[in-house]
Amino acid sequence: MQRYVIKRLLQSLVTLVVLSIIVFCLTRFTGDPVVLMLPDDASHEDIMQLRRALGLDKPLPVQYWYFVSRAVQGDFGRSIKGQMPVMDLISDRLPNSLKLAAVSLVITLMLALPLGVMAAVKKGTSIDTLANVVAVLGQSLPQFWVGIVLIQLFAVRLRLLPVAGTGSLYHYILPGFTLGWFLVAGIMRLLRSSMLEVLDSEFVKLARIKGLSPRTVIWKHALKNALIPVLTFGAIYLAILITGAILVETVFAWPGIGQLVYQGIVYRDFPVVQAVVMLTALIVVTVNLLVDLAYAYIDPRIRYS
Amino acid sequence: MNTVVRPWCAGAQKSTQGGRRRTACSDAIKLIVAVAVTVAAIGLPSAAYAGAGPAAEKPTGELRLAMAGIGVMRPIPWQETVFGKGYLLLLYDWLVGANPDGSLSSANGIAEHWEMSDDRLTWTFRLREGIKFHDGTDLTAEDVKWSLEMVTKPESIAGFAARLRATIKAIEAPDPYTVVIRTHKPDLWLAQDLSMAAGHEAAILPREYYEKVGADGFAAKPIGSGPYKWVKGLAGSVIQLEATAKHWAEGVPKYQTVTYRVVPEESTRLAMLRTGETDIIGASRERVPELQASGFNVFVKERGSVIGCYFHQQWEAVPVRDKRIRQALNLAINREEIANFIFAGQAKLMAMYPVGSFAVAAGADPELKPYPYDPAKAKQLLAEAGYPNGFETTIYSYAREDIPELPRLVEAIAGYMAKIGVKLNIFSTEYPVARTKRMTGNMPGHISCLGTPNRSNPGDLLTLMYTLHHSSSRFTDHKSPELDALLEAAQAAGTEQEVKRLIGDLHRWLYNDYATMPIAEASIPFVANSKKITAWDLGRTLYDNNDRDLIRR
Repeated sequence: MQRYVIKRLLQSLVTLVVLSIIVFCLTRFTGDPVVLMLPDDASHEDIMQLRRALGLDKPLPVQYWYFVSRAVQGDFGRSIKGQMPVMDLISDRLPNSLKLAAVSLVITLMLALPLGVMAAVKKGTSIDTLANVVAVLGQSLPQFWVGIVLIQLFAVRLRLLPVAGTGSLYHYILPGFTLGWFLVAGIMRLLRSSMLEVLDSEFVKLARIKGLSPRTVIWKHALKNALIPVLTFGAIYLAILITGAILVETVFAWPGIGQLVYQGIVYRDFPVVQAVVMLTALIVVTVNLLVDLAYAYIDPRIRYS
Repeated sequence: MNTVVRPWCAGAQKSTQGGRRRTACSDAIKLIVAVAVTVAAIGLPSAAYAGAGPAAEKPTGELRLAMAGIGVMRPIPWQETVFGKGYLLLLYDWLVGANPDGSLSSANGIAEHWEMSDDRLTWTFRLREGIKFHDGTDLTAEDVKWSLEMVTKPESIAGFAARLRATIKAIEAPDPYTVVIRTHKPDLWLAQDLSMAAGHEAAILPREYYEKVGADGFAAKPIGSGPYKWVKGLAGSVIQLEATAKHWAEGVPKYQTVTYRVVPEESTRLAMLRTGETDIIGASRERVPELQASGFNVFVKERGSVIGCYFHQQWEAVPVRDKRIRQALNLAINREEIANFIFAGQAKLMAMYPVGSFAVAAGADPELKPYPYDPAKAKQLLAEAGYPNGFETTIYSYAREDIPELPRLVEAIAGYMAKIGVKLNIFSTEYPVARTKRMTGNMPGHISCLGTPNRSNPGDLLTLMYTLHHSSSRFTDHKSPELDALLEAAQAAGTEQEVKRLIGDLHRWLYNDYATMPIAEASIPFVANSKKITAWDLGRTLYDNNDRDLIRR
């Protein structure tokens, strides 16, 4: 087990290092933030002076070393645009993103669990088809379009919910649903196939033979076992939701990490983009690592393979 | 045009419709006069009377603005871009005041008087006494000296910092209310550059407080001397300000709180306006007719943005090196159509880019007319220049917040050019990529389009022209000794009159050279709740929309 843990840790480390190089290079190859910060009539000398002041005149390997050596200590530098520590920017917005992600996940589960279970139980029927349509629509309709339509319907026409921003619980509903619906398809389809497998298993058949009601068999015994892969998937989704809700946060002017990274990309704010990408990667890699280790702990065949 | 409706008369005005001219409003005036006369007659203490009058005015309500972007939202001038000037105008006072038309004013700036020495190397600013920062400390010459030194440091991202740095030799504060600025060379425009009409470089901060709390501490809780105090802010999202009891220049602010919110998506901003979640939004020009029809008040910064295209690196062996080709390309586009259909009628034609109509005040020639639309002549010119079958070059297309129409404009230009046989390959990219190519000289004979504020300050205009057209500049599209000589002469000119005359010469030179491809002067529209915002003079100052006009009673 120890050897397996070390191997997986090294793999995770390599993933993060490779990703850090990719994100470092990609952000720099698409333009210079200084040309966006100064007005159009700023002279070449103005631009060069500001590049020097921001440390952007140094060779790329030197800049990369600064980035990595500080990042491992939790310091992602100062935002070029915001002129403040990137971690302060992130910590200001993280609570908003966490809350929105939590609400979205709840909405996702509220939709995906019944749809997944019903689709599995009523396999091949019109209910199965309907569940699939609802789920797939959520994934196939562009998020920004869904957001705009929901705003027009519930905020502008019906005046039931606020358009944008934060403040009350009502502010969570539209962005939460827009984000949550997008994730329904993945979880619902995973749950459906997992449920089909479980429903066909021996212990479920035994439960039925014992005379338990269909409701108890499905919701208590089968669902509990079918949820294991769903929870793993959900944990990774949560990490992506926290940092990757770019479109939803932009449409709803939600002051979260997604909006921050959007502005970071637009203004070529390298430190912000690097920090958000690396933190997302760190969360995803950590969750994957923990899941793999848990599986290996439970199933010895994995660690010996 | 919008009229100002006094709230207490609003109902009365409605009641006059179709009725006789005697209104409830005039009745109210008579009643107030009668009460005032009676009160005066019975001799109530003056304090009680004052309490019932204007002195009892208090800021009320909230003003909410939703914009696509608001600078960096870091309330420190040297760490904020020019696009954050609007909210800074409410938070700070500037060394030199300005009127909405861009002329300087001694009424709303810290300096009540300023003058340039005879040798034109020293400027002296006499400061107004009694101005206090929000924490109650006095604003003195030391604060001005320190603020200007901070904003001209190399790490400053303020737009005109480099220009000031190149000019200013030393700043002195001989007494608490006098600031002396010595310059390396004569600078006729220093007071203008340090005014509210220019950028945000001359916003004055309290030195002592800043040094006590540091940059990050100050950014979290900034203190100024403007009509509004800082409440809270989240960079890239929201800024909330609260009214001071009374500002020395603006009096009692109208609104208790002012909130600036960044809402990148236009349809969201429109929805917020429709549902009353915001009072003012930045809107695209194409939405203006629809929003006007919906009953919203539309305020525009008339001709605020000058839009045109460059022929890059004209000195290379490229078709646009030939003046006839540049003339042909200029005659090939129908500017009327572009103004009406691309800019939704919210644009006016112009003679030359980047010298706009505001520049007439700086000496530009008002007699120059926009180039006509004449594709037949354009074809003839191409043939004369040796390109009877046209040629091929690149035009860049990118989205910019200030010109959302730019990709469509580029497509339209490519369409017009195709009609005369010139094939423009549209290179879709992002602005930083195009600008980097421009800086590194990788656009030989290519075309790119941009917008810039319409400018009326001769010094500012001259700096812009120098940057864009002088052969020593990295951004230049020309390498012409004749043009260089004109630019150098204008920069060295000793009097305002001479500078203006040379700007006129430069304007005509560029026009006759078909140096660029002027498109139009576009208005910058803002849409407002018609019940709450009835008047707003957006002014002609650079990089702001005269936000202070919104908070005046």
